[in-house]
Amino acid sequence: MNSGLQRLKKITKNRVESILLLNAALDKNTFLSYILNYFNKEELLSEVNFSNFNEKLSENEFQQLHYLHHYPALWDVLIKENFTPQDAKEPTKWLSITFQSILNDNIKPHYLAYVKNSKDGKNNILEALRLSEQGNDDQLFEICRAILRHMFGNITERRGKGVYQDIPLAIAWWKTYLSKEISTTTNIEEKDIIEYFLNNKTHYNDLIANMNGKLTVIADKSIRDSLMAYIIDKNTTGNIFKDIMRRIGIESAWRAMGSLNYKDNKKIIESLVI
Amino acid sequence: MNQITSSYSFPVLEEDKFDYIKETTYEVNQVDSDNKSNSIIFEHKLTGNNLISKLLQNNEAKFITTVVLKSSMYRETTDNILEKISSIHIKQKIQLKTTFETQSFFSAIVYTGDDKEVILNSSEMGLDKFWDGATIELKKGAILARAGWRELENTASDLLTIKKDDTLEYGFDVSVISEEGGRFIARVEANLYDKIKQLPKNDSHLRSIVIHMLCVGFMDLAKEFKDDDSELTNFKGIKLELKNKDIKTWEDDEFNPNKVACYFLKHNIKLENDYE
Repeated sequence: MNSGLQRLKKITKNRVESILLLNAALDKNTFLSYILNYFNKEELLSEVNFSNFNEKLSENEFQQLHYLHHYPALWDVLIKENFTPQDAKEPTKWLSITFQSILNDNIKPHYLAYVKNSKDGKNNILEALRLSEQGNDDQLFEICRAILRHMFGNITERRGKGVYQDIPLAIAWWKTYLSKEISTTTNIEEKDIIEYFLNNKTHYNDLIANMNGKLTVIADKSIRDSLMAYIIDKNTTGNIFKDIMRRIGIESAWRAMGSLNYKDNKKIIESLVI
Repeated sequence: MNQITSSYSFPVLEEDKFDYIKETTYEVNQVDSDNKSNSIIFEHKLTGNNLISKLLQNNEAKFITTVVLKSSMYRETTDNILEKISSIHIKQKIQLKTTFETQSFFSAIVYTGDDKEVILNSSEMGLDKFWDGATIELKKGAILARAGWRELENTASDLLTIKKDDTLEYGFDVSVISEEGGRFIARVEANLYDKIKQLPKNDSHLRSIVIHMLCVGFMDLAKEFKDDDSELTNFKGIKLELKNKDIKTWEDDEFNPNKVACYFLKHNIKLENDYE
């Protein structure tokens, strides 16, 4: 699996391979065959069983999964497969899930080809191929990266955080997981936590970026839960979220906040806000 | 009001810091592991009669260990006590996660009482005279002693996974993967794989094959990750060990993969005299 992934990650700078990928993404069977150039089908399917996910998603739904309907459906399917956070950080698991989603007609491959300001995947592919024929490969490489990023996240430029921030199904899983964890500690409704993440996408991305590397102390269960409880209670938006995390980082140089309970930490966080 | 003012405004017991007299020490060691329950045992031991021992006796301080799996964003702190030998000497059970990801541990003694002011007395509190008469503010959660970060001990051969590959016609193919903190993956031709499986663990031939695999793995490491190995957290300990021994790492142009492979798994070849 991993050697295939390494090879697939490298095609983003290869014009011939990028054209092959984009053309393949216009048709289900061609796309599945293309992916199987890199992976053994049995190995890919054995990563995780996703055949019980029965949602047929439109392109818009795939890009904006609904938190009241699609999120629980995804969670329920994966929890039955004993899917853990350690699994959910693995690009190969999400690659397998995306592959099965296409195989089982939950999504079409061109859904993966969206970029920030242009959500119509098929149109993006055709336009990128047209421009490439005219000698401009910028969009070709951009769409190639978009397809891979939305499939398994972990392309070179995005490193680990791509899994948490770029794969629509993974984002839904992680938001659900975090909401359940935080809700257990704080008694805040899961729904309210997910809604906060959805309405404050930058905060979700900042939280993940810190937990995943920049400031891992934020990932400490007690600190993370207190931080989110404070933020949601105060309905805090804007730069203050980043600022509080920075202050927690400074405080943690001398204080083991992770060893304190959630209520103690919430008080400390309140004292850190100017 | 900004309250971030307390950084190190109180004595801390840690290596290379001289707030406490030399008789005061704090050590944490991994003393046992249990594969069945996937856990390890840490022993925390404080020595001397000092400020920290008094706080522990008064239940105003506790031993903690934070477990971190960076890639999967897991971080949790435990203060459990498996066995209390005395108020300053305990054993703690650390539950591990089932993963190849590097698990890191930070152990410390933290203050758990209410925020309070303390006037320091060096002779009663095991402190350097520098602190005599100083008034400090102890706040809940303050780290009184720290044993630093550690990882589960591993060496280069621990990071090698050997897999059978029916598509290979001969030999083996080694590459470095970056997932789960990084590993060497050796895909081995079916006949060779079956032979390897039958060889005893200490067999010279097996060691030579594994050294060869590690050598190729380190070559790939230098080729693919020379400029950026930040994803390869499993290799951090190996890099540190090499640096400590003044051996060039994969970041250096003079890196010698063969030498490094042999360093971690020395050749075990019988010389002529051994057969006499």
